[in-house]
Amino acid sequence: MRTLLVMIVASVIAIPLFAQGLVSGQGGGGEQTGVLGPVNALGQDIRRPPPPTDPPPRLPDGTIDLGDGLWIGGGPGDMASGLPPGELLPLLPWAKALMEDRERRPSDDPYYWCLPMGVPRVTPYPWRFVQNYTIKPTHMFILHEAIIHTYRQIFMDGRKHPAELDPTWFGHSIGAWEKDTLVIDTVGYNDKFWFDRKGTPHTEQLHTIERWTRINRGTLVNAITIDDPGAYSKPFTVTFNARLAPPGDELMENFCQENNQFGIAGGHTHPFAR
Amino acid sequence: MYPTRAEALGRFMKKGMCLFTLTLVVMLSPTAESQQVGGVAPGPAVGEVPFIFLPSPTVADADAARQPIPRLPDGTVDLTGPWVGGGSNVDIELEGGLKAGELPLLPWARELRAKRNKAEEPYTACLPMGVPRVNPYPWKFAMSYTPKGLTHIYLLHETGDAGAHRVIYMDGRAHPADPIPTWWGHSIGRWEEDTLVVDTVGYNDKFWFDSRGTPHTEQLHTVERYTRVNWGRLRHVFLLDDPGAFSRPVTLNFMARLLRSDLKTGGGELMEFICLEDNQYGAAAGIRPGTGTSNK
Repeated sequence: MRTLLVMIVASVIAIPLFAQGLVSGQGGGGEQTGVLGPVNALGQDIRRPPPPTDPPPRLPDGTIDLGDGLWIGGGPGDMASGLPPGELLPLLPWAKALMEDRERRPSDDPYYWCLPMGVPRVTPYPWRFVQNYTIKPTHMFILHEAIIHTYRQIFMDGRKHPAELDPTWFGHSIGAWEKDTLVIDTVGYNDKFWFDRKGTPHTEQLHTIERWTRINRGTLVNAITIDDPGAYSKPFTVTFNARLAPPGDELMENFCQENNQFGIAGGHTHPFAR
Repeated sequence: MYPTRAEALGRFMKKGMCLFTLTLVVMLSPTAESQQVGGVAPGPAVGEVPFIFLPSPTVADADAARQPIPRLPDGTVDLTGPWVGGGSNVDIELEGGLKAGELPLLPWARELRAKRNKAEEPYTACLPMGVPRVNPYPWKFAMSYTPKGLTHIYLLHETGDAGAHRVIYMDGRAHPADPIPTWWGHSIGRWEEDTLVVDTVGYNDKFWFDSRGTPHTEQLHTVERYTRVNWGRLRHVFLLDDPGAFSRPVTLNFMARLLRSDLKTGGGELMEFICLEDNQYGAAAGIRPGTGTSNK
């Protein structure tokens, strides 16, 4: 019965996502589809087995395990594609103008300069959750294979956000479980990263609430509330789903800064050097 | 807790680089500095490479044994940290406990080290620093909690890109027969009683062991032995085996110190540090990072 319920919930959540073209495992979401299926970062068509649909694994203490494998996707390649059908991003006029300006200068995307992509953006490369194994788990980390091979830190020990923060790429994240959903609340972002390749903007007032629900073994749904009165007229929620990579896959080493042919090598001017 | 802006000033300065640091470096001699951080922790770069080096606060010798060594529910030693030091930075020979000239470098490697210009080290261009290098910033083990037990240990450095994350497979797998050379290599770990033993092959030859330019080749094989000798100290015994650049394997000894929880410097947590964000040292200064031993 429980399995059946999970499947029904999964279908209800998954159908609108598929309808929007956000097939899990597609990477950034809202991307091209080729003859064999989604077209990946290198332009090749890829064919994958369907993700497993059995119940998600649990840790010895009963918590859902998010860290037993690699995930692909779960965030925007195009922020607006995560909205419910018919909705538009509630951009303030200046933010809309900024986006139009960025459209003319796509090489300004800090992502292409090997800088962190911030939250909730994902790359076409896999990433994973790591729950630190201590007497009581106090930290979770999100490790990305790319675009820089770095990590994001989430405090799970019940602390609050500090009153005043130095703005950073990944902000200050505190996490808690609401039943089987991991809720990550983050403030203290800088305004430098772009939400997606389209340059969807934000300000330092950004506050994100991510709700990660592993609806079955192979699918992790991320419903993110974006609350940024500096750039948007009201908070909104976008939904993306991540797909479990095949068992045995591991994060490979990827250092964007080792041989980046896009930035200076590509004849572009550093966006922060203007 | 993260620090307020004012409180973070110390760390901010640590992470920046500017001319007045020349004065700072002169004031803080490498000897005095390394003693302050534990005798084996990284000291400031010398000569024409002035890094700001305000040491991360660590647990004092007198307090190191004041608490019991923490353990996981299954009895495994908790190595989490964060730790400061415990590897090479400026000169692996001296920091690893050898006397000057004792490192058994082959003649060509000795020559290359003498020829290398500090300004060209890959680390200054935000490239990964490799094993067993540490910088003056803290790092930690993330021991992954899964239903299958401890399947991976990740090493996280505060420098998110130059340090990045490194993976140690704890699931009993072997090294692949022909690994692709990488900055961090292929690492497999096991426990020998309370000591974590990490065996690594598959390194590229691009990173330098230290700012002095001590080289290695792709034949490098390392064995790191980490033992938490008490609450506040982590011993690192490092076996360096590289027949391409050394006449024999050599063992080096390091000691890492537990980061002290200090509100002025991140409250005992790793802070975010993206070297590439505003690196005034590399491309901005017209410096091109050096290449590996293969391009000597």
